[in-house]
Amino acid sequence: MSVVERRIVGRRLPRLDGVAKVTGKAVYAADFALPGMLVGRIFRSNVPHALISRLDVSRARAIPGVRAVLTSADISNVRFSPAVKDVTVLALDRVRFVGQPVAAIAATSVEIAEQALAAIEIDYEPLPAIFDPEEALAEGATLIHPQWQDYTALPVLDRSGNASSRASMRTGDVEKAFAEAYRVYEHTFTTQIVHPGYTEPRAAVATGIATAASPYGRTRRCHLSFSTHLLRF
Amino acid sequence: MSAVSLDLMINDELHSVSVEPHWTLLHVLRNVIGLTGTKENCLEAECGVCTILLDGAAVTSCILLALQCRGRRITTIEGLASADRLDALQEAFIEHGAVQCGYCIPGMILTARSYLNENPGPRTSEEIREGIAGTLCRCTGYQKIVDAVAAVAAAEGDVR
Repeated sequence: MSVVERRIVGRRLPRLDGVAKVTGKAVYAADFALPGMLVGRIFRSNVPHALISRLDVSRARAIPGVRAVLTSADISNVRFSPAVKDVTVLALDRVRFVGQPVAAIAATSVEIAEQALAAIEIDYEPLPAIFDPEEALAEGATLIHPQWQDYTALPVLDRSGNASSRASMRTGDVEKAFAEAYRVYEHTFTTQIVHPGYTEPRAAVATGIATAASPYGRTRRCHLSFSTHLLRF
Repeated sequence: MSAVSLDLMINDELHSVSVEPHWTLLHVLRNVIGLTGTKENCLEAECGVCTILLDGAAVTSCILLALQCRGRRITTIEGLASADRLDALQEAFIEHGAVQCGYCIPGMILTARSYLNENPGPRTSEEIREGIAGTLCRCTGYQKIVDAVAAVAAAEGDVR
């Protein structure tokens, strides 16, 4: 019986896109350029927790070259997010963290978009801010989402106030194990917040032809990327 | 702002462009000339994906004004290979599987090119890691990148 020559397993195969990537020809989402493409900028909250008492974008809209300034009043404010649907694209009446998007600008150049950023007027009514998770879970803590019970969420979540979920895992006879242990070491363990810090920018390019927007995203979840991260330039 | 006429020598070709004085070389390469092989990310010279060669030396183009490049020789990743042959580093990166998502690769290869030009001959892994430290690979595929650079360093050292 003859041995079938292996076509893939056990052979050295160069990447199909290797040459494109070492010569700079590979095209990433942020490399797309379309005719007449506008530049986006996001106006963000600079306070950790506050009610928005006044937001005026009329001066920004009046700047020549500014094509659009959107606030939550201009879009349908669908709440989204994978587990608890508590996020809107732009802040409604309240900001909940420094950097939260409040308004989105599209303009014909970076310089004009940044002028428009500077022309947006906002007044805040500050609310108590919480910087520590234990503090957020304490009795009587300020609620980050006062309407948390109205949000749609995965049914498996054990939600309560500022806690978006609690999970406990238990197996075996814990008390017995501690009682028999030679030494008991007590500590609270925490992990860092993890975010994959890739160097490719999150990007999506959309072209508005007739009523259809055709997004080109960098991830296979390009519609999610489009809805959430187009606004993160 | 008022635009200024500028002649740039990029990959041995003369480009006559009109630039604003505050525009970076990165902006001009990507958005005026259309050479998007030079990547954009942090815009504060931390990540190295925008690295180009300026008169043969690795420079982060995101903090370099285009006007500073008048009369200088600029090489981007698109200009590293000759007409019929990839640069030895480009070959080695493919051969050693050093390319993953690829976003850092143009900057990484040019950083390595500059390092090997300035430090010819076989290099230790530690020396190469120090040499490419200015460019971050967030796939964290450094071992294969170092292997690729080491192979080229050894081969070029033998030739010299």
